[in-house]
Amino acid sequence: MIQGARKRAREYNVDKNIVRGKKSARGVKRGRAAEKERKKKSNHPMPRAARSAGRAPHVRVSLPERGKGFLSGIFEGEIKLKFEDFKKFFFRKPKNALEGTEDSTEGIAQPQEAAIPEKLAVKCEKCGQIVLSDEMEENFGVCPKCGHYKKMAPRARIAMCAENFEELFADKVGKNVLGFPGYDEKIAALREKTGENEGVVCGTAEIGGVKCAVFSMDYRFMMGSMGHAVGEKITATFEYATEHGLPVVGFALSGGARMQEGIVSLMQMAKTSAAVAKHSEAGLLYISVLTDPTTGGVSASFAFEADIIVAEKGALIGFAGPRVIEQTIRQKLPEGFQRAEFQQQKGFADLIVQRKEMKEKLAQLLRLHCGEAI
Amino acid sequence: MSAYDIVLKSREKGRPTAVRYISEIVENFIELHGDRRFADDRAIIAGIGTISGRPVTVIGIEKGEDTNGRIEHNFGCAHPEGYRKAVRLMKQAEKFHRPVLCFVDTSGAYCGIGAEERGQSEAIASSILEMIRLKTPTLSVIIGEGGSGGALGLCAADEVWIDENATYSVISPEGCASILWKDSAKVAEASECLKLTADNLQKLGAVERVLPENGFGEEFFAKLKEDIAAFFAEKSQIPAETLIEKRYERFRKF
Repeated sequence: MIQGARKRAREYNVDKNIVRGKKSARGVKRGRAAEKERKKKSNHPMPRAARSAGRAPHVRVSLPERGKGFLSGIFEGEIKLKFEDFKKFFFRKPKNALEGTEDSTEGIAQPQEAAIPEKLAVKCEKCGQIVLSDEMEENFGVCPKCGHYKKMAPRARIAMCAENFEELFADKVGKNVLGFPGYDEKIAALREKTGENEGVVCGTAEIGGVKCAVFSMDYRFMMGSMGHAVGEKITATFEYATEHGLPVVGFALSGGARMQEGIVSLMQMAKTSAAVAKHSEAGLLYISVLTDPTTGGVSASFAFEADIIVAEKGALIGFAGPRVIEQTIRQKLPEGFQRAEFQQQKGFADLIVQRKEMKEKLAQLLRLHCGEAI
Repeated sequence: MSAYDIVLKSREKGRPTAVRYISEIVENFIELHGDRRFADDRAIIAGIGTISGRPVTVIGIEKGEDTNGRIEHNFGCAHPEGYRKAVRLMKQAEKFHRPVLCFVDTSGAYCGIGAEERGQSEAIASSILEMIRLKTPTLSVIIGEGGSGGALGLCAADEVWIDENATYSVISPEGCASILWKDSAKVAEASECLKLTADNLQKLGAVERVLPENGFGEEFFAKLKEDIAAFFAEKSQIPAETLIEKRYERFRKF
């Protein structure tokens, strides 16, 4: 794939740095200083497009300076490509089902052909060392060098811990009840980017041979914040579990309530709690796995209402986020404050489990409650 | 009046706090202290008394009336022990079939080292969980600020009423402005966007009644007392299961 992109780049006479992502496709520097520089240059008697026409027409001519409208006049007819199209053409990431529905970009190949393959190696966000992607994946996103836990997408987490996952309530979505400015666009962009409808994935699965209802929250979706859709899916999962006599295993990950939905998102805390209460009164087991981070309205509702509270190693768990606390009390927080180990020491987490042992531990707990011999 | 004007009014000095409501509405009030676990949180005042002859449990978040009072009551920001005291007294009310009346006025639950160490999240979560399945009628009245989880901990009730110049919100307008727009000066805009005023809340179904303040005169309290008495008289006739089911539906609709 990458060879295809490079070959095309040669044909189009594009700087190879563009393909590698070191330069923008316009071949211009970014930033305020660069902007000034550009403004100076634009005093040139010849139009920018004409100046560069001799060198790399496909790139230089066809990329308008955004917001300047210098194309008015003779170039208008032949120039159809926008900067965004070029960016997509060269810097396409691997696709998912939601993408690829865009208008075709005239005159150039479809974006997927120029896609660059998955990275071979990733950089650990904590220690900065380069780790092979495969190795990182085999280790469930835990850095083999420093032991740092990378955040896990919801489906990967379910796949790691459970078998025979069947998704439920996938079509439940929220709406912009308050008409909050910019919220619809934000959600649309996140859907496109993640391929998920909302910030939680729910369904049924088997863990250690025990059938249960599961939910797993998505850090990519506004850090798992809870609005109507998230609250509704979790509530529906508990109701389904109550109706079918299933235990619930929930992977909590959230910065809290979603402020763009205002009071409606606050009400989700009560709604989910009520569903947890019903499930509990039916004598059913609820295991809450608190992952990094679990704070705010989610920690102050269903995440802390479980029969057994499992904290993933190193996870940040608390009511207020550390930055807010530091601002309020005007002092620095001690190392390890609000981490899983702290929560266990203070008596708020039943047990801390490492990621690689999560599946087995959950299976043990479920089997203990669901009548089968271990 | 703009949303931000109402936000300012809800925080105004001289606005009646929970203590005033309790003294005006509840007869024979006896304050009960402590959570039997750690301490007595002065941000939450709770006890038993009667309203028009009916025994009730009353729980109020108290901001304090003057500077000394505000310091004593930690500006109405409760610690975990406050919510645990509330839960203890709610369970006690359930045992003796007393309705529970809550007055809510807080900018939010306290965030600090001690609050985190003692499990603020767990305390609020338990308070919501216990209140929402309490087998006795519950009513919450928001009398000033209804700030986020700290307010919700005492608002998982059969009905929520609100003063016309009080607010109820998932986040303070200041917090919203600084997180979303990285600009705390946009607080007026945030107040508008959050729809945190009484009329908006009623439209959204988050509150059942808006109480006209009329300068908080004698009439205001007399009317409120009468309404509360009537509310509890009506709800006390309803079997506990129906009450809980209705409460479930109340929150399920969001």
